[in-house]
Amino acid sequence: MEPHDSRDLDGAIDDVARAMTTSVLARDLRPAIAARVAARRRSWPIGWRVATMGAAMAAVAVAVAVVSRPGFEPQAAPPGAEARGVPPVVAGAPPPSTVTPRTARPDRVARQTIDRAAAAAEVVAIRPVAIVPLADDGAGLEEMEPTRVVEIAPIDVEPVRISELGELVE
Amino acid sequence: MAPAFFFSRYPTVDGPARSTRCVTDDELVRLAQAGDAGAFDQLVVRHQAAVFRAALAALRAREDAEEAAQDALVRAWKNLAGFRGQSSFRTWLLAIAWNRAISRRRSLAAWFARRAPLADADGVAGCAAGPLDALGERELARQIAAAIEQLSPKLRDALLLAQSGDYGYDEVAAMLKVPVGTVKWRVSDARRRVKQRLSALGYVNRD
Repeated sequence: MEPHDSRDLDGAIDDVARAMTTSVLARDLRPAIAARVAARRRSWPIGWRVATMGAAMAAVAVAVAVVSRPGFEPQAAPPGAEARGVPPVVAGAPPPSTVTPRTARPDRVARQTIDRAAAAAEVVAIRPVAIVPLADDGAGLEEMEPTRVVEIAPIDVEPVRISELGELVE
Repeated sequence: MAPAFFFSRYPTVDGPARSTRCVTDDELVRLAQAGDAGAFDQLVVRHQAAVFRAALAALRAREDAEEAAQDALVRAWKNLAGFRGQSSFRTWLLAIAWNRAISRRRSLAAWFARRAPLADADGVAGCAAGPLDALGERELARQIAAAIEQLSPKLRDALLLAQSGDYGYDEVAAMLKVPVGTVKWRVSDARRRVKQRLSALGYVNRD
C-alpha cells in the first residue's frame, strides 16, 4: 500500500464513481414501453365500464333504499296550502298528538307537532303591564332611626417592671 | 389531461419516412403532444440510456434500474400534455426518472440485499480507467467504492450523478430538487469524506 497525493485521490474517486454508474443499457426499452402502454389502454375501457356500472348500481340502491324506508309517503300539498302558511295535511294522517313512527327523525317530529299545535291554538290577548312611578318625597328618610353613638372607654395599661416578674424573665 | 395520442394507437404504424436526426427535442415533443407516437419513440431512443443510468445511480441494480426507467418513460408519455417547456425535455424526463427510482428504492425491501457492495467494488476495481490504471491499484479502487457505498444517500447520490459524466450540475440539481450550489457542496463533501476514510486506512500522503 502506497500513500497517494490528495489530488490523485480526487481523480481516483471520480473514476470509481463514474465506473459505479457506467453501465450500458442491455436492451431497447421501446418494446417494453409499448407493451405497457398498450396494456394500460386495454384496461381503460374495462375500467370505464366497471365504473359506469358501479355508479348506476349505486344510484339504484340509493333510490330503492329511499323508497322502501319505513314511514316514507309521498306528500301532495293541497292547492294554496303553502300560501296560507298551513302545513299540508294528508288524508288519513295521524293527528298531531298521536305518537309518530319510531323511524321518523325526532327533530322533524317535534317541528311538525309544534306547527300543527300552533295552527290550532287560539290567540290569547295579553294586557300590557302598567308601571307606576315611585314618588320621592323624602318621608322614608325621616322615619329612619338615628344612629346610636357607642362610647368606648380607654383601657388602662399598667406598666410592668421586669423585676416584678421574677424568675419568668431570664 | 392525457395527450392526444393517448387515445391513438401506440406504437403507430410507420408513417411517412421522416428523418429525425436534425429535429430538436422541442420539435419532437410538439409532434408527440399532437399525437405523433413515432416522435415519442424517437425521444425514447434519445434519452433511454440517460434515464437508465440515473435510475442505476439510485438503485445500484440493473434490473431495478430498467424497471424504473420504463416506469419513468411511461409516466412521461402519460404526462406529456402537461409538459410546458419550463425546462428542457431531457431535464424534465430525468427528474421523473429520478423520482421513480427513489420511490422504488424506498419501497424495495430487498434493496440492501441486492446491491452487494463488495461485489460491485470488485467490479469497479476491474473496470476503472484513467489514473487508476496508472496507479495499478485495484485495492484502492475497492476501498474507494466501499467508502462511497458508506456515504449518506444525499452525498452518494450527488457524487454518483455528478461524476457519471452524463449530467450537468443543473440537471443533477433538477433531479435532486436542490440548488446547483448545494449539489456542488455535496459532491465536495462526499469527496472529503471518502478521502478521510482512505486517510484512516493510510492511503493519503500527509506530507
